[in-house]
Formats: sequence, C-alpha cells, structure tokens
Amino acid sequence: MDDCRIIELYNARDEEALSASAEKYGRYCYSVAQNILSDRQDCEECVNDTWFNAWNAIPPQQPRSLKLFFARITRNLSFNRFKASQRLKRGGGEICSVMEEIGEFLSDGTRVEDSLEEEILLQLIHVFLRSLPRRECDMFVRRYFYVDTTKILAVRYGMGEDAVLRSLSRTRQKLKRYLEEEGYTL
Amino acid sequence: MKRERFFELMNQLDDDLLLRADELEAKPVRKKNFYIVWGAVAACLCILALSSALILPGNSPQPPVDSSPTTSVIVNHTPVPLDHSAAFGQLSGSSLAYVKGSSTSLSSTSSSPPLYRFNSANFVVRVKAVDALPDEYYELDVSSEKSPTAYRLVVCDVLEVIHGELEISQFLFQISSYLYVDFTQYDSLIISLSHVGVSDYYVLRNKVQNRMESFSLPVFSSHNPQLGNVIAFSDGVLDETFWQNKGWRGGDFLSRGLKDMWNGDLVAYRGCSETETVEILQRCIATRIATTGEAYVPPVFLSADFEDEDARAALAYVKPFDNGVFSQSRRVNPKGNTELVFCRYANGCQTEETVIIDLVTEEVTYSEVRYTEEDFSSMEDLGFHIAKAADQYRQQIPTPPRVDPEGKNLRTLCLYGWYAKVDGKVYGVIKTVWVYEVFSDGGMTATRWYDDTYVLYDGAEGTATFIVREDLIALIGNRNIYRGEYNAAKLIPMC
Repeated sequence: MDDCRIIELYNARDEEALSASAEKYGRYCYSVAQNILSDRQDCEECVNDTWFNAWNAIPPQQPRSLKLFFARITRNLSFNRFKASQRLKRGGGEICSVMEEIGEFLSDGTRVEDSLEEEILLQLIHVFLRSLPRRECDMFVRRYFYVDTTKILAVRYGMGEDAVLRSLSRTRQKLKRYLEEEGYTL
Repeated sequence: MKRERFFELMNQLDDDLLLRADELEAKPVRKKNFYIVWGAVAACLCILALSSALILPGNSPQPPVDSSPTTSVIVNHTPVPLDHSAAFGQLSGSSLAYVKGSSTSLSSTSSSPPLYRFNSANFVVRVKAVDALPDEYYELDVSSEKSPTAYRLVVCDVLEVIHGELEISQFLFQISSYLYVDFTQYDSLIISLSHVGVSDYYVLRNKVQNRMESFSLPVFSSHNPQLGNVIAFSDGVLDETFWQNKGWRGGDFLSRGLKDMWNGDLVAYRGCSETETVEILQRCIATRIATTGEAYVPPVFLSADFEDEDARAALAYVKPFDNGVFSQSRRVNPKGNTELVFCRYANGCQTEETVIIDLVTEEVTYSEVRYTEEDFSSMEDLGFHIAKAADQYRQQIPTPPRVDPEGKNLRTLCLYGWYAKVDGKVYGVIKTVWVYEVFSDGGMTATRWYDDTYVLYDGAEGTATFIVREDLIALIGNRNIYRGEYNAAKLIPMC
C-alpha cells in the first residue's frame, strides 16, 4: 500500500492504517529501535508504541515522508527507554558508544539551553552537514541518527572498521571546530 | 549541551539528509565513449568551504630560530583527510601549485633550421587531424622545479606510415597548449612522433575539470615539434600558415626562404608538394640507415599486449581507477630494453610505489612499498592543503626562512607535495619553494638564491609539523628534497 493511501486511512480514522503501517514499516522501525535498545521486548514495545503515537499525530500532522516520520517516533521512544534503563543501570547496545562519541565534542555541563539556542545549533549542523562530501555526511547521519554500528557502516561503505572510526572522528572534530568558529560554545 | 539532548536534536535533521543516508550508494558507472575513459570528479573540493587550511604562524612559514635538526614547530592544523567518498583511485588533485613563476617557454635563440629528427626512435606518419579534445591536460609527473606545461590532445587518423612499424588507424597527439592550432583545418600533416602512452593506461590530469582521465587511444607526442617535426599541407602543397602561431619557429623556418629543395636538413620547401616531402623523407631515412654503420632499428609500436601472466597481472594492477591512479613513462633499462614505469599517485601527489614492466622480457618489478585502500583512509588531503596555502600566499607572500628578500625579485614561489610510506605509516610532505634573483651586467647575468621549507603531515596522528631537511631525509629518504646549499648565490648567465 502506498504512503498516501496509508495517510488517508489515518485521516479517516480507519484502524487499517495501523496494520498497514506495521506491515510496510514494522521491520524498518524494529531495526531503528534495535540499534538503540538491546532488549528484544523493549524494541517490540517501542515499535508498537510508534503506531499509537502516529495515530495520535495524524491528523493534524501530514508527514511528507511516512518512513522518516515513523523512524523519528521510534527513535525518540527507543531513546527515552534507553535513558530510563540507564537510570536503572541496565545495559545498552551501540547507543552507549554513540553517546561516548558525542561526548567527545560536547561538555556535559549544566548549562541551560533554550529553544532559540538549540534552533541556531540545528541550523549550523545543517550547514555543516550539507558542506560535507556525500559519503562523509551520510556516514555521520547513519551513525548519529540511525545509530548504525561501525561494522554495519564498514560493510555499507566498503571500508574497514578502523577507517570508519577514523572518518567519524575527523568529522566530529571538524564539526566541533566549525561550531566554535561560528561562536557556538558547547 | 548534554549529549542526550544533542542526540535528540538529531531527530530534527532535514528529511532529505535522512532519506539520502538511507539510500544504498550506487556504484560509479564508468562511461567509455569513443576515445575517453572518464575519472571521477574530485570530491575533496567539496570540503574546501569548511575545513581549516594550513594556518601558519603569522601567515609566514617560519622554521625554528634554532637550526638544530631536532627542533620543529607545530603548525596549527586541522586534519583534512583524503576524501574516501570518491571511489578508490578515482582521485584528482594536484601536487603542484605555482604562486609566482612562469611556464616553461621557448627561450632558445638558436638559429638552427627545423629538422626531422628521424635519427631518434621516432615514427614518421602522415595523418589527418579530425578532432581535438576540448580541455587542457597536465602530465602527472610534474617537477617542483618548473611550472608544468599544459597539453592539448588532437585526434589523428593515420593516412600513411612513412617510418616505423605502426599498425594503428588512430591516435591522440599530445601537443603543448602554447603550440596548439586548429590542426583540423589542414588536409594533412606529417609528424615525427614519439610514443608516450599505451592506450587505456595513460593517465593525464584534466586541467579544466580537475580530474584524472585515461584514454582508449594510444598517445603520442613529438620531440621538439616547434623545430619542424610537424609540417602541414593543404591541397597537396606545403601550408606555411601553420607557422603563424607565435609559439612556432616560423621566423627561423621562413627566414631560410624555403627556396632550397633540400639543402641537407630541410625536408620541405616553399611550394613543395606533399608527395615530394614524403620522397625526401624516405631518402633521408635511407641515407641515415646506410651511413650509420650500425643496424638502425626503426621504431616498433609497443602495446600492452603481454603474453606473460605476471605482466598481464601487473597491467591489471595499474589499470586506471581499478586500483588507483598511476602515471606512465618509458625508459631504457641497463639491459638496453625499453620498460614501462608506472608510478602510483594519490590525490594528484606522487608516492614511491612503482610497477615496472620490461617490454622485451615482460619481467615485472614491484617496488617494496605498496599502498592499500587502507592507506587511503588515513592519508591527508595534500591537494587541498596545497591549493589552500597557495591561495593564502597569493594574498600575502610568505617570508623565506633564510634568504633576505630585500633588494631581490621573487622569481618563483610554489608548493609541491608528495606521499611517503614508512614502516606501514603514510606521511605527506608539502615543500614550499622560493627562488629570488637579481639581474646584473645589463641583464646578461642573474644571481639566484634558493630557499624552502617542509611540512610533514601524519594522517594517522592528524598532525602537521615543520621539519628540517635532515630529519625529513632520515625519515623518508631524499626523494624530492633539495640537496643543495642554502642561501648560496648562484650566478646564471642569461645568454
């Protein structure tokens, strides 16, 4: 079923939208969750919650890309569950490595961020990413949005794992340098 | 900002970035047209906007005041890795950037007439130029000592082989840009040719599009074409308009009057027919063979058609863009055999990896140093740093470390880069060269001073450091390193 038809079902409050979503994007959303959560049950619950959240969001939201819309919801839900599990000292998957990497160029200070400052940061990140060669940008996105493991990235881009790590490290350093030059303190 | 908040912020990335990253990368498609095999576009230029360039203290490269060989100055440096998003080997870039200095140009004031130098290993052919590739090209093997020559490539149909064993119907004629004219306007040309590049394996850098290209036709050039090794005919008669291009020795050639049918060195004269020129040439060649007193071996076209399996494997290894980019050159080895020498280039910069194939015995010699795809992932993008530094220097000329520029003219300022692999680690080196000069004796002599600095890039460590010559030689050997005396004036006669 194409995305337009699925959205129409959501708009019509037809519960077939949920089964259609699950059928088309269930495995995809599960993989998004799995990159963040190591527990299978947690992943399944997050995916199921994705459809519930989508049901509540559409309408009024009319996503242009249903796939990304679901991916973002699943990612958010999975990360919230991860944060909860961290408080309970339960183990995490690849997300732990990702958090450590992000921590390399961010301080964990108690500075209060306001929404305007975050908006500026987001704009800067967009400018930075769009200036990168495609592969470098894609790799950054796949690591810090999709939480792909370095092994998966190595296979995807035909590189060694060490090369992936080095490439990501350099991109992080470049981002940090760029943000500092733009006067954005982290 | 907390790392968790940054992670959540990534959720707000634009759709197109997320969707694009989700797509599977398409394999690069190599499109082979009639006579060009394209390389990929240099992706390294995409990072130019954001990445920091080599920033030198005070915008002047200053080596340590203490000339002790162990002292070095750390350069404020953001690593710029070689862009691995370009397919392995399909890399562009250039090892050389001239900030000041002129191209090699004709400067000989010799009044010797044009000659056909058929006593060298040249083919002599009669051709019809049918087309010319639109862009200018550079050879990969460029020297840091002189500004590189740009070339044009002219597609020529072979009408007749006058000398040499040549069984091809078409080739690319590589001619310096300053000598280029529209060859297609002439009915035919007689050219004394040197074989330059074996088809499919000869790589040049497209100057306009800044990418590497190989060609499915063999490439020839002409030794000293301006000395009469290219002669044009229209309507079957010598066409003197050919020498109107200022690069040609039209003045000298025409000053001979072109009156003498053959005064011992000219093979064409005013109003002579093409048929006569061919006959004169054949007589000259026969005389040469008869008078040399030794076997005069006419040149044989050397193709890359090897019987030996190892030689074929070596060719597969150096095939453009499959395993990187290699320059191609020919030389005669101590056995007296012609051999093909392939040298690996990365991002337009020379490495020390070579593959040598003896064209007679088909014996293959690989250099001890070999570069792998893994090496490419840790290499610094020297081409980027060179270009960026050259831009900076064009805004402000850096002060040389030893030569006092006061009262002197800056003749040359250039940057040259290359790679070296030591104990499995890849280094990049960028050399900055200054040449100052002062004229005297009414311009009859010039005094010149040479100076340089070296910056060593360690891609794995992400560092760039000034390094003195002695330390650099100890680390990577003396390839491309100046061995002369610093701050020593050299007297150069101007005539």
